[in-house]
Amino acid sequence: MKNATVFYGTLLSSRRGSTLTITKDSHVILSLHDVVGVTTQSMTCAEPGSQVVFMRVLRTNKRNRYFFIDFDDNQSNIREVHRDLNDLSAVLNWLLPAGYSHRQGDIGIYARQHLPLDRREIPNERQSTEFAGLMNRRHRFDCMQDCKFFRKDNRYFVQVLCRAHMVHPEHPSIALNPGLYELRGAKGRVVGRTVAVRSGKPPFVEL
Amino acid sequence: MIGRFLHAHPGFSFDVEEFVLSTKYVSDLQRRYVAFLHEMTGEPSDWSGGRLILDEVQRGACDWVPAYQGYKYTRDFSEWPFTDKSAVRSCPEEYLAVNLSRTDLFLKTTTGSSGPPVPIWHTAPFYFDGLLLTLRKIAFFWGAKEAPTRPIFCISLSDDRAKQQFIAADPVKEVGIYVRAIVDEQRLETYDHVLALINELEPACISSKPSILESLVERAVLKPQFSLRPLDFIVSSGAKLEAGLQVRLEETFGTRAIEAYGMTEFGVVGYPCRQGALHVDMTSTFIEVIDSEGKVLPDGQLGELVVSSLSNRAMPFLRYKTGDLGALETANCACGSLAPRLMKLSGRIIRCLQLPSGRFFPPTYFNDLFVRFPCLKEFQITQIARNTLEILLEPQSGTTVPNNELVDQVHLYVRDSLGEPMSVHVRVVTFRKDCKFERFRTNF
Repeated sequence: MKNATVFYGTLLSSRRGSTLTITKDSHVILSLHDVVGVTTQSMTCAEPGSQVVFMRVLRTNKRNRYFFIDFDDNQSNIREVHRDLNDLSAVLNWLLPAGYSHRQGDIGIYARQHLPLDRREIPNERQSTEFAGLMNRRHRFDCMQDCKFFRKDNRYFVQVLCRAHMVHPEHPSIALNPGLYELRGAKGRVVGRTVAVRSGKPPFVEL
Repeated sequence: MIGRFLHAHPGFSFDVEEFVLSTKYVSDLQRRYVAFLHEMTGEPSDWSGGRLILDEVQRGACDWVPAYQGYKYTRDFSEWPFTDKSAVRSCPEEYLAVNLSRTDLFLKTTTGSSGPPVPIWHTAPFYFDGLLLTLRKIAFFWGAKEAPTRPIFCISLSDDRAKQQFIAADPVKEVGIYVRAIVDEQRLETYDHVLALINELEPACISSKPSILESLVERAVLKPQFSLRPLDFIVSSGAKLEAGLQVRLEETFGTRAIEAYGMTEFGVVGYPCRQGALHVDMTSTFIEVIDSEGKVLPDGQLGELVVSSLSNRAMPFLRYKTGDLGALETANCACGSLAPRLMKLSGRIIRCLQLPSGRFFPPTYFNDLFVRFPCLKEFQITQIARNTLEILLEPQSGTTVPNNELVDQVHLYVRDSLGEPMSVHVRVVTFRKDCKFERFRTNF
């Protein structure tokens, strides 16, 4: 049985015997028992300081769990991926289909020529709500008035009329030239999106 | 001091972790306090037209708040649409700044005085300001003399039985300990306990909402064995303090009863002065008064109060319709402060129910109906006779709980809570949206 501690940005992977614990910003987001081995494969990305890691947690009775971690100096994310994947390049191809023109964290941006026929135009004031399932309200467009948004079922499109930026508090912003784009979210399941929340005490002056 | 208190009063807790965290924000709290003193007692900044807030928004203060995306490009404060409470209630996340980690925030909920509770996230500086600075600001602005010298600064009373009794310490060490005590209408001995605490601890002030203060006065009068050392002041907030109760409080406790105005979304925004006026905290809020069509009214005219504030960067609100009625007066006050005054506050009047025995019963006791019956969208309790209550319920749309089941359960809970035989009539309705809603009323 091994003991090991590894940092991936703000994520901490800590193995004590047969238990693997992953914490983020000091909150435990994953705890796995019956661990018999952990293997990792990493790669440095084009963005300075950015790395991705494929972590395979091997457990007894083949109850293996596989994870994809991307991190840089400012942020870390961990996502559970399919157990049939063999290596990092297979994971990257599985997460987001090839062909994206830009990527911002877990969102791929694909240039498109046409909108689907029966798409629905989303008013700008409804965009953040309608796109919340994909963009989690943290990816957003800086100049909403320069964009039009469309949706067809679970497909999301943006028509950029003037040069616009897609921004995120942790990732570098992406400049998009005028054109039509489809936005696609990465596959897999985010681990640790639900974190502990501190409850505030009632004030000493009633409100 | 804290150790001694906890040893003598085992029913109270002290959150060491939170206290340590608060010490990290000492300089922030001091800065806020100094800014408050400057704006409220000195030469204030130009407050007109919401200019201070407009400038901040144009500099990007709301860039990460989905509901306010694009506001930075507007040139005039009045171009912003009003923020409606129902919109916040239906999707609070739209108003939450997405660039902040939720682990760094404090989650609170509105009191539910004007509808089902809404989650409100506070940044740490805003949270500690509300918890540990607000009462100090009230004491200073009002001119309390003894507040800083007493070991116990405040005993605050709540009837929220879901919460625990606790104490807190001022990280800046300018005032004594804060004590939060819980009272329960079904256990009148809890009021006796509070009166005993006041006797023993001799705090600078007590603080609560009017309905609880009314019950406290009633109990204090019935228990003449309590010989209370005069408090420095009494703070009433959370609902309108009516003149009759104010007089009874002052006679019973031998000190001045003053009123503050605020809400969970903004903290306290109206601070009382010696002249009995409520001055707007200009460091954190901008207030407009509008008519029923949304037109901004001039000084002195009664309308709905609309508040804007960036003080809580986690969940700032712009042009937020409070549902409270009042007027704004910018002419100078005799107290010397140049901060505008809130006048004619007429929303949120909550009168105690009067039980057949004559005992007062704060109706806010029943705010927990929302917690007990999650299928409830709104309710209204009206005392229509000394021994009769009428309760109207509006269930959430799409609820699977049958109406008759809900009516029966609410009837049972309310009847048993009152502790005295009363007729309780419960029925299901749909409330109109176009009128000012009063959850608790007396019609007799």
